[in-house]
Formats: sequence, C-alpha cells, structure tokens
Amino acid sequence: MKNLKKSIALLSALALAGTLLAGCDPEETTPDDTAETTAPVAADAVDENVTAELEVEESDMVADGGGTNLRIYGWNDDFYRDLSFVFGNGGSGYNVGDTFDERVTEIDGIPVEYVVTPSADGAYRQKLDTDLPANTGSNPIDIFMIEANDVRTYVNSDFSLNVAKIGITADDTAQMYSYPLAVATSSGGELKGVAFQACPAGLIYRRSIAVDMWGTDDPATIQEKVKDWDTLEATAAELKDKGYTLVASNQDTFFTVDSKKTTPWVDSNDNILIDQTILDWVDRMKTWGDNGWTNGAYNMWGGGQWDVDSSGGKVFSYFGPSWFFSFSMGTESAGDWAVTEGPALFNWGGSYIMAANGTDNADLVAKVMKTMTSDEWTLKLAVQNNDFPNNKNAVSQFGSQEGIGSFVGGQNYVEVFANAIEGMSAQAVSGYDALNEVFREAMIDYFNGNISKEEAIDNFYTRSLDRFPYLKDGR
Amino acid sequence: MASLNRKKAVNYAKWGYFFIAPFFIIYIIFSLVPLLSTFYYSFTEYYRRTGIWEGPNWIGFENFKEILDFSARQNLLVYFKNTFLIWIIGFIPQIIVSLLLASWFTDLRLKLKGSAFFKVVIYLPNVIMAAAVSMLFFNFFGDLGPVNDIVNTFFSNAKGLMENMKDGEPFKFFQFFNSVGATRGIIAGINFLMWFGNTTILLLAAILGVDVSLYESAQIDGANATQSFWRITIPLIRPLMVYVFITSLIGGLQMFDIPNVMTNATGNPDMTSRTVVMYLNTMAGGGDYGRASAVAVILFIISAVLSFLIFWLGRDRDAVKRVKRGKGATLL
Repeated sequence: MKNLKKSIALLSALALAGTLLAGCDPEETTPDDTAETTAPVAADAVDENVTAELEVEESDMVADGGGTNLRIYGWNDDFYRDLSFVFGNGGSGYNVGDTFDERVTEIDGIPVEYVVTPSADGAYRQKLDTDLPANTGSNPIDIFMIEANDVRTYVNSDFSLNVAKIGITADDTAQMYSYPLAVATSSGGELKGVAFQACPAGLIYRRSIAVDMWGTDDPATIQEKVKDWDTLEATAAELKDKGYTLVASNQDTFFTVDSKKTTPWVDSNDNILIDQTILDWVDRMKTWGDNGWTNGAYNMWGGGQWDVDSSGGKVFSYFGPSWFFSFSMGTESAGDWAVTEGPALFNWGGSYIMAANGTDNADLVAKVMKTMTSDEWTLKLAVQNNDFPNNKNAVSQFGSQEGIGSFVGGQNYVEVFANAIEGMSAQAVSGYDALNEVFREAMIDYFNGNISKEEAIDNFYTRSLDRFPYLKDGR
Repeated sequence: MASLNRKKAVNYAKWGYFFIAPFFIIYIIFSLVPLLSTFYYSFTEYYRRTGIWEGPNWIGFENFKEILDFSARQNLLVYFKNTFLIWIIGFIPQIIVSLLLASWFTDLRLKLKGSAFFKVVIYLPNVIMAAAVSMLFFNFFGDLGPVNDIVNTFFSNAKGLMENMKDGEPFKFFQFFNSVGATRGIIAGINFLMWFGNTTILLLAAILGVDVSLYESAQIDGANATQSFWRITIPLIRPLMVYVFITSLIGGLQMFDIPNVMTNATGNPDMTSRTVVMYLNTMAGGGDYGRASAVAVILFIISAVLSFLIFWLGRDRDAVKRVKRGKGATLL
C-alpha cells in the first residue's frame, strides 16, 4: 500500500509535469486557421446540377501498378459473397439459385484479400480513416465498400479515385439510375463510386391480412387503401377495429420522409438543422402511437414486437426496400407478403464500390466494377439476392426471370419500386446522414411518452454534438 | 576482514532490477505515456473531421469549460448522477449479501458443508464477459422475453379479472427498457450479480483474519451470533469494508460495458442510463480526442482523490499515535 501511494503521487506529479511540458510542443499552431480552409462544401451535400464528367485526359489516367494482391475493405461479408457469386466457381460465376459457400480467392490470377471491419460504433469508418490516408506500400487497399450514410464523406475526399481515371466510361454508366450516380458524384463533377444495386422502397404488406380485411390481396386494390397519408390513416383505423395494426413501431415510416426532405441535416455553416418534413413526421407518428395503430414495438429492428414472425401476424405493413426481404423480415411468413407504392415511394440505403486512392491494381478494380454493374450480373445478383438492380436493362428484363420474389409470392417487386428510383431527388443526401439514426432513436422517448417533443429534440442535439464536435446547434 | 568480505560478496541486487524491468517498460509504453498524452490532449483541440485530423492545437481550458457547462438539460453532472445512482442501487444489496454470506461461511457454530463449492459458484458470474451477460439480460427482459412470458402466463390465468381492464385489451408485455427504474435496476442487478462473489471472497479473507479466540471467548461469555457479528466482526474488518467501498465506487465510476450494450449505446430512456464513460466513448468514437481526454482527466482526478481516501481512512490509527508520541514506528 505504501508503494501504491508513492506511485500514485509520482504519477500525479508526472502528469502535471506532462501538461506543463505540453505547452512547448512544437506541433502547436494557431488554432482554427486551417479549419476554415479545409471545410467541405455545404456538408458534402449532393449538388444535382453537377453531372459526372467521365472523359478524362489520357495523362490523368491511373496506370495499373502491377499489384500482386487485391485488397478489399468491407463492413460485412455481403460484398464478398456477391463478388464470389460473380467471379467464383472457377471464374465463370454461379447461376441464379445456386447455393455456395465459396469465397473467391483469386480473380485473373491475382489473390483476393477481403478485410471485414464491422460498422458498429463507427468502427469501420475509423478503420478507413486510419488506413486510407496512408495507403501506400506493397499491398495497398484497392477497393473499399461504403454505405449510403457515409458515402458523401468519401465521395468528396481524396481517399477515393475518380472512376473515370481507371477506365470507367459513359458506356458503363449508361444504364445506371440517376440517383445513385448523383450520390456518388463529387461537387467537382467526379464520379467516385459505382453501385450494382439500388434501394428504392415502398410499402410491404401482408397478403393474409389484406384478404381478411378486404377479400383481396391484389396490389392495385390495396394501393387504393394506402395511396396517401390520409387514406392510410383511415385504413389504420379500419385495421385496428379488426385487431390488426398498420405498422410495428412509430419509426417504421421514418425513411419515407427522410429521403423526401429538402434540406440536408447540416447547412454550409455547420449548423445542424431539422427539416420541417421531419418535424411534421414526428407529430404524425406520435398520433399513430397514441391511436394504437402501431404494434407497440419499442424500436425498429431489435426483435420483439417489431419482428415480423414473432408478432403473430398482426402487423399489416412494413415500409422498406427489397433488402428487407432477406435482411430484416422473417422466414416463417415468407410468401405471405406483397409490395405496393404506398403513400410515398422512397429510398433507403445503398452500398457503393469505391476505388481507393493508391491502388496498385487499377485495371482489375475497373474490371470488378464493370462486371459487377454489367447488365448480365446486376440482373443475376438481383434475382439471387432479392435486390433491386441499378441497371435499367436488368430492371426491364427482371419480370421474365425464373423464381423472382418468392418472398412476395412471386410478385415482380422491381417493377413497383422502379417508379421510386426514376427521377428521385438526391438533393438532401449529405455527409451527415448518420444523423438520421440519431434522430430516430432520440424520438423514441417522445413517442413512448417519457419526455416532451422539445426535450427529445434537445437529446438529439446533445448526441449529435457529442459525435461531431465541429458542428453547431442550429436552433 | 570487512574489506575481504566485500570483495567476495556477489551483488545480486542488480538482477532484481532486470527482473522487474519488463513490467516497468511495458507500463511506461502502454500506460504511462497514454496517461500523460491524455492530460496533454485534454488541453488541445484535437478531432477528426471527415477523415482528416485537426490539431492537436493548444487551447488551454476550453475543453473543460465546455464539458463543465451544466446549463444544458443533459450534461456531465447528470451523467455522474446516473452513474452514481446505478452504482449505489447495485452496491447496497451487494455489500449486504456479501457480508451475510461471508459471516455464514466463517461461522464457527454453523460449520457449513461444501463452502468451497459455494464460493466457486458465487464467484462464477464474474468470470463471464460483462457484455455477454448484458446481452443475455437484454433478451431476458425483452418485449417477448422469458420474463414477460412468465408475467403473461400469470395474467392470462387471471384473465377473468383482466378482461375489461385496459380498454378491453389484454395485457401484452411490460417494456422494461422503456422504464427508467427498470433499466437502471437491471444494469445494477447485473453489477450486483457479477461482483457480490468477489466482495464475499474479500470479506471472507478479512473475517478469517480475525483472531478466533475473540469469538470463542465471546461465546463463553454468552454472546450470540448477532452480537459477535456486530461487536467483533464489523469493527475488525472496517478497514477492508472501506477498501471494498472505495474500489467499488471507482469501478462504478468507470461503468461502461453493461449499460452500453444494454441500451445500444444510447443510455435510453431519456439518456438516464448514460454513464460518464459512455459519454466519453461517444466523443472518442466520433474522433474528438480533445474533449474525450478532458472527461478522462476529470474522472482521473476523482478516482485519485478517492484512492487517497482509502489510505486516509484505512490507515492504522495506533501507528499514527505512536508516531506522534515519537516512538519511531513508521506511518502506514
């Protein structure tokens, strides 16, 4: 104990000395000088007036460095699975409906190294932010995957390459939808990433409940019942009388408004602002909960009352894109669902393939991008994974494919969702879209009656400012 | 003669330093340097903005000023209050149960059989990872978890009574994680479960250190178990009780993994289960090392003050008196 006391005393003394010495640190510079000049444009928001320029000078092209390893960063195994679907099976790729566990080990004789860092608690972003600035050496990162919430940050950074510089041409992007293109185009008009899937979304409803309620599960008839917010609320009351609920939780409809908001979360002066559309949504959802139109689920995901299979088939609808089928919804009720446009078609999520600045495999990266986004493979991947292909040709051919949409009773869901992605505006997509989850979770306490709306919004600002120290309270 | 001896004697002392060197080297690299840099960073503006590091730029006490501003509805003081409340809710049953178990295990008259087995069993929860335990409890108390199942079964048996209650709606489930008391209670309960075994072992050692003849003579004089407990055990293990209290308090101040996993890092409902270290973690995770360090420094100072309290409260008072009388005994 005596020694412990001494060492604590010593520590405190050293610690104090450390702080005194710290004043003389040579790195010390005048604060804030640099912050102003490096501030990104308007919170990395999408500027829809800028279109990607895919013709670059021959001299600007990134030459293949003859790399011996294709190093890919991802936050889960999904892209590796899809990459294996396309390049596995001895290089010829798999057929739709094949089940496979193989993960491709080499493409064109170059070994593949896939590094997974889970995205929980921002771990994946930390990994990227640590490794990308120092992307040199014998085995640099060649490709990194990025999710919709974070994509704008990396589109406007120097860590990603203009894909035109590795050989992606206007022909390669001709069939892509404008929304994913706009999201991946930097404010300087460079296309920084490509997506082989898109995430338009609508309303997914339970067929058996529709039949019980109205004697039909036909999407066109059901659409009449859910065509706008007022009709939807009347339907909700109707459902409640029969012991059903319209949605599982108060937050299920959040992304319908999140992708419709007109201003980004953060303005060009770093103020956090809440769009009026979002505030109106809060009021509406509070009413829904109070009226008993939700199943009382505490939070989206998280199982329990939200979970499709365990809530006893009492929930009429979920609002989501097609990745809901395999990612969020249960297997027991598969086939008992159908999709329709609902009150508002929207977009939710998306993942982008980016070429890392510093890659030594430019040619192979370009090949991966071109193959993954080709007409043939976007279609196959979409059928295989219940996804929406980011390719207009694939969308038009989707309906004629075998075995599509078994989750929704064989319905051609792509046709329904295609109306959502066509002409969708990306104007409010910005580098701070991670705030939408913060906001949604902060509202739970208000919906559940623990605190007032103002207090919930206050909590949202507290959380946001803890996470982003350089942002300001815009109220 | 003396000089001859000195030449012959091999000095082994230096080897002692070699043997303890690895600890100090590792300690300096992995503990002391980070500790000192934390102090330095707490006085700097040092954060990551869209992947680019800003700073460290010296800004004096700005971080502390911002963190110690208690005008907002949620602030550091509130997080300290949350942390302390959750800790004390868990600590009170912990010390009571531990004392009870420790005195039973050592009771001369009870002569419990298989006490070694029970000691292992009560210590076991401490071996499991806190995050795993909290995940387990999260599912126990979930909307459709076993706890709600049991409550549900109970109420559906009494359905005749429940039929017309709650607007005709049958009882569905109780949302534990939407209730401030339940959430804090569950977190405190896990802390209790994980640490009462450890405390019991510590108190056991303390009680075993008490001279058995004291109990025997008390027994001969007609003292019952309660009397020997309050008059002999408690006064003699007081220094260790203080130690347990303070170490538990310091551990409680650093409470993080259980509430973080349990509430999905939000500290909900209404951030009432957000502890100081969860607050620190949010900022560190967002790449704001300046402010996070400032919180860490504040925690360090409080922990250091509490540590000194241990020594002050746990010192040998007789030795202090002897020193004052000048009889040469060393302090502590």
